[in-house]
Amino acid sequence: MSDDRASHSRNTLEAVQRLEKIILDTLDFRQVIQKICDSVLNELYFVDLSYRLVVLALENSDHTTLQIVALSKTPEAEKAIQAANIPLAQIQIPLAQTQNIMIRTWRDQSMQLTPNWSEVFHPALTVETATNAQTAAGIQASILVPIVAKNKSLGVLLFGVAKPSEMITDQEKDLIQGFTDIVGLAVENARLYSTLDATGKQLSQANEQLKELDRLKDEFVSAAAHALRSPMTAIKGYISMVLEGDGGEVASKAKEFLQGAYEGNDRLIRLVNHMLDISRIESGRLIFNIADVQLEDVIQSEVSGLKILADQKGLSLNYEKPPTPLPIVSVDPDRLREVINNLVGNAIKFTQQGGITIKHEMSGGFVVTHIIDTGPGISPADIANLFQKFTQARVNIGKSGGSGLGLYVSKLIIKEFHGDITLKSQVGQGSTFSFSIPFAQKTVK
Amino acid sequence: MSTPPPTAIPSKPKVLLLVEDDPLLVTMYQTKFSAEGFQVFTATDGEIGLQLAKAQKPDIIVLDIMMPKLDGIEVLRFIRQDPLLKNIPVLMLSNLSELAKQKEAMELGAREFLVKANLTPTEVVTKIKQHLQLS
Repeated sequence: MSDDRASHSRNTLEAVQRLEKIILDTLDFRQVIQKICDSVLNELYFVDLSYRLVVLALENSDHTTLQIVALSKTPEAEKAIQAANIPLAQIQIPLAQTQNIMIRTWRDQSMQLTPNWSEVFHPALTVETATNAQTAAGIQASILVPIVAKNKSLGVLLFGVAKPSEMITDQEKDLIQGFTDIVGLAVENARLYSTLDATGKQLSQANEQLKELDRLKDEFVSAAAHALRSPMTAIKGYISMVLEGDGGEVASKAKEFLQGAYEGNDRLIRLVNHMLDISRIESGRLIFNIADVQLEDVIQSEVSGLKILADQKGLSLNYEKPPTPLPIVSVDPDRLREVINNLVGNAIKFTQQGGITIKHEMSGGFVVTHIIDTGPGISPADIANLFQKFTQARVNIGKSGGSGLGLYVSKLIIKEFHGDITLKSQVGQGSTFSFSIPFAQKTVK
Repeated sequence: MSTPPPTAIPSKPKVLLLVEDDPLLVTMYQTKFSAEGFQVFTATDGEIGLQLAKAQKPDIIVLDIMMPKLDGIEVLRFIRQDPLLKNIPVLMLSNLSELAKQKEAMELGAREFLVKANLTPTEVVTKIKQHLQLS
């Protein structure tokens, strides 16, 4: 006999552990509470002990009622529901109903026993309905156990038993108590997880919306840029024709004014081009045609093109081409031209006397190209902002005529080549813009 | 009283078809191209462009992309499929600069993709002459 009991206890202990695992492994709140109600009868062999149904009631989110949230999937539970003829979710007991035995269990955090469901479900069910449901399910006694986590009552678990309360043993009550402790933990965990899950879903939804907004922004920038380009083409074209004398002789003063209009329009065109580039690079839509490039050749050809501009301002423009070839770099040559054009063009634009020197340096797997000017120099505060969108140094440069996006675009491009652009400057000491591009280390066999 | 060198004999003007829907730009390019000695036909949508191409068999076609009825890419596709037209050089002249569009046009056999806003009419003429091997 005592062996029997010992073996029964061991079985039960194992069952509780199994149950614990089932419940704690489940994270979805709905699933957890259903498993609580179903598994207790089967896993703990409580069916054999005349336990017929389990009801789980939890405090609602407003902290005003205990609400039935789950019911064991047993024939007796089914009969009770049919007899009560009311949806489960509508069975709510106000926390203020301190005479209700379920509320007392919750409030006092102590186990209660009752033969009458009218005491349990008042006022949600009438005495008659409660009694009918109880009779239909064949329940003679009900054990109500508080579900507690971190000393806080979360709800109540009701066990409906098809035997009189005198026949419920202390061992059964102990087991139920032990089980209910796990339930407290499981409910708490599942709630936390559900909250986390919901927050995660909201975040990912917000993220999707942001992506969509970003896409719409890109679409808008793209559409606006193309719409702007058409009239700018007409302005550029007609003014250039007038300037080229297609419409007859133009007075030199008028030519000067028109030249101003032409340059203003060209600035607009550059601005729009940069906006398109940025929009494309930032959204990953710009396709780079990477090729093996001999850096000196690209620089030499760009410098030749920019020489006229330097000459016009009486500035020197020197490229100190290295005596031995530089290592090959993998870049998009057209985009690299754009960067060189931008950096050297800027240097010419902002330098009033002296000149610009371009030279190279090898540094830790990178070819670094320095563009050194004798311009006004840039203050530390301006250096910090210079590579941002729509910023230009404010000091000593007057009207620059730039788009305010050139350096930003250049930096984005060089970053695509896995390099970087940096700037060293002091007011009154000129500026040195340097861009670095990594080269492939080729082992000599 | 010396005889002029043979190169100075004026050759038959080259026929150019401009397909472009913006009237401001049509007038502009037409003026420039005519001044440069081209015989210019203009079409303001893709359908008319294609009809004119078939009727005139131009020496070169300058083709916009975003146009009513038939866009430039479609026009180009039809030109390439027509045995009588497929050898006419086509220059895309558009303010669309998406690389994907450029690639599509080049794969369909366009000679070059020019972004309108980046070029003056004179520069466009230079490109046209390059492709007609006139320069």
